[in-house]
Amino acid sequence: MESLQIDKQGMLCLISLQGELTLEIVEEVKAKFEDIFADDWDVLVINLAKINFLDSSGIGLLVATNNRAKHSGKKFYLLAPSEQVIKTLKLVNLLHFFDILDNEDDLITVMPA
Amino acid sequence: MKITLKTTATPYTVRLVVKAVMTILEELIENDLLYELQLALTEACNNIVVHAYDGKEGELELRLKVVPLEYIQFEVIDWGKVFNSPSILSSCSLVLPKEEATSGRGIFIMRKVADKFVYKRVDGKNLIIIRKYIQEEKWKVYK
Repeated sequence: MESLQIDKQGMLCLISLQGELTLEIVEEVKAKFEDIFADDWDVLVINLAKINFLDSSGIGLLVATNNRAKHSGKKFYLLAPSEQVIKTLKLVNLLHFFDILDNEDDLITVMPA
Repeated sequence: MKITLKTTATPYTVRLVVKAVMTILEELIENDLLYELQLALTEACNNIVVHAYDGKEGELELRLKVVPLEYIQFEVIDWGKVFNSPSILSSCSLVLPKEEATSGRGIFIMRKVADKFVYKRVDGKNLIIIRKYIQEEKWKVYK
């Protein structure tokens, strides 16, 4: 993972990932997500615009994060998934499974009151 | 053309091996074919790290076979546990796990991308073969 950036805007938590989301780094990202889940937020957004490769380990991480957020009554969105992320998610028929925001302008529509 | 790469299988080394193969393929075929091939090969190698060796160290051998103007083939070999997943043993199964499942998609990806997918247990080795036929106009060389 080239970078993982966390930006808290009120009760919205925006995580921006850059590089590859693969088996190689998924445990490291999982550990950072544990810290995020210990924090207080209502909406979690992961920006995937700069992810250039996503494998099934990365898919597993996104699905697990989605499940955990939803089961806690929180909202979870993928923001601007890159062409590569879309290719992988389409291949495993998961594109419709996630709530997706097309671009950063859409963040305002999910910002908690 | 045949190229063989060997490594001790860890998440880091298998990623390097896959990237090396992709660098070779970039010279041979159009870029729009590379992403899915990279994904299928990554899943084959990750499967070895996670399942064949249960996260412990073990050897991985990757053979890249190129038959000009016909196909690209990956042969991925390990000396770990036998794979007993129904999805890899079935000759025709192409079934995805439930959407909420956090694992179990690797074999589906390999099968979906490959034109020919084979899993064999031979002489204490696991062998996965992924073959992809490449249209003539998608080759950058041999024409």
